[in-house]
Amino acid sequence: MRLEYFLFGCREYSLDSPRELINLALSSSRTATLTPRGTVVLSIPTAKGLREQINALGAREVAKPRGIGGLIISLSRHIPTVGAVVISLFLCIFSSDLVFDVQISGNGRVSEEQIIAELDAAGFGVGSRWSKTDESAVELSVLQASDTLSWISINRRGRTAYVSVLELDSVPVAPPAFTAANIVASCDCVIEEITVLRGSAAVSVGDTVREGELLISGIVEGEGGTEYVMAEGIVRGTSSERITTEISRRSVESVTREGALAALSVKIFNFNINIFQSYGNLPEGCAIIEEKSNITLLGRRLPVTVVRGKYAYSEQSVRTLSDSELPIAAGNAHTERLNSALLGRDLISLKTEGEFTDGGYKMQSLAVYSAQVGRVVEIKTED
Amino acid sequence: MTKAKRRMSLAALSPTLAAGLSLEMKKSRLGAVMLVSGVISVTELSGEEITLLSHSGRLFIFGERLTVTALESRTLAVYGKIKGVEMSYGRRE
Repeated sequence: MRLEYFLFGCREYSLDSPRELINLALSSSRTATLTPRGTVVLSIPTAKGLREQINALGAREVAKPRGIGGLIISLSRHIPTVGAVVISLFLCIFSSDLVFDVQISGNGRVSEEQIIAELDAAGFGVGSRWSKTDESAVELSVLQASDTLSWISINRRGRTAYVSVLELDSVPVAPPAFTAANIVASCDCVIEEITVLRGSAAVSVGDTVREGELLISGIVEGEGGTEYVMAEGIVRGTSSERITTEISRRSVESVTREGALAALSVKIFNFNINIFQSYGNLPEGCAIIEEKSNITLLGRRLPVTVVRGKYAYSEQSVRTLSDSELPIAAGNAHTERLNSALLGRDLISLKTEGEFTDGGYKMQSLAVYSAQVGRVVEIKTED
Repeated sequence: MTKAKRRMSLAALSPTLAAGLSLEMKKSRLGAVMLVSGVISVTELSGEEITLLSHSGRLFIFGERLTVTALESRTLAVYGKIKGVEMSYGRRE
């Protein structure tokens, strides 16, 4: 096949006298080929230009148009299908550059939502384009803005971003502004361990100290005289605390009742499509609760989020707890207080008692624990 | 003016350019191809005999499995097993 027939497409004609069609092409300086079968092949542009003469010669087209031009002609009859294929190809190519999902790993105390919010603030998330994302810049931006993460890494696998994080062990504490300090007892306790890193010990293991009593002194006597230093060390002591919780028989409960659907929107990548929104000025005691639900397909999360806003009515009701309900409610409240009070302390023993009172129920615990008991206090020197 | 009309008018202005008949044999993928330029028309066309008319006279090409392709500038390419070429002098001979 000649190159021009392939590129522009060709039509094949059969007629009684192929010579006449060859002569017609010769006289009009166009290309025509006589095939061994006795048919004449013309390129599609030539056939279009000589259409009337070809019809006048009584030529019949004996085959479908061939070549790229012929393919285009046959496909032109299926424009919707071809258009759909082209659009699909474009969407596939375009969507392969988008972030479809973000998977977080390595987090414990910090929630996924918080990390995703920090990534959003750094300009990265579902819907971002990989080609326009500098992962190193995003990681640096998140670390600079975050006070809960010590390391973050963003890795791309297909259209999913796998984000690995390491959390900070503890919240960093700003160093004190003064230069000389003592360490004193933060509570009444019995010293069980004292390790001096800087300064001089004022107590020893087994001593009973009161709150505020000196444990490690920042005043050091040396060869050059008295020196004031920032006392540093670890002092652990055994102490006890009485924790009391009392609840009333009459309790006021706030109940949130969900109402009708107030708003509905769909978020596809970063595009938010509001379906409807019916609330304006909310009445008193009424709020809107948003529920977000992701759509999954075959176990994989799609970048489509449906956000439903529902009316939420807050109602307060007074109820009286029965004798069987009182200890349970008191126990729950007391447990929460104990967890808060014993945070960071090693519990040695716990004795809890409860009793009915006139107004409700009272629970009392005596907790004996071991904890760090040192507190830094500035030494005010007269200069 | 279309390209074809430009070519045809050029031939009409300079009939000497179209009067010459030239033959050229070239190798092709199918064997050899004979390029004949200056052809006015094809008066006989079959798989065994092709007769061409030019300003110089007529050209007879004999062979087997002969096919032709008409090219631009009044050139005809003849493919197949060409066994002989004869010329006659004068257009009316």
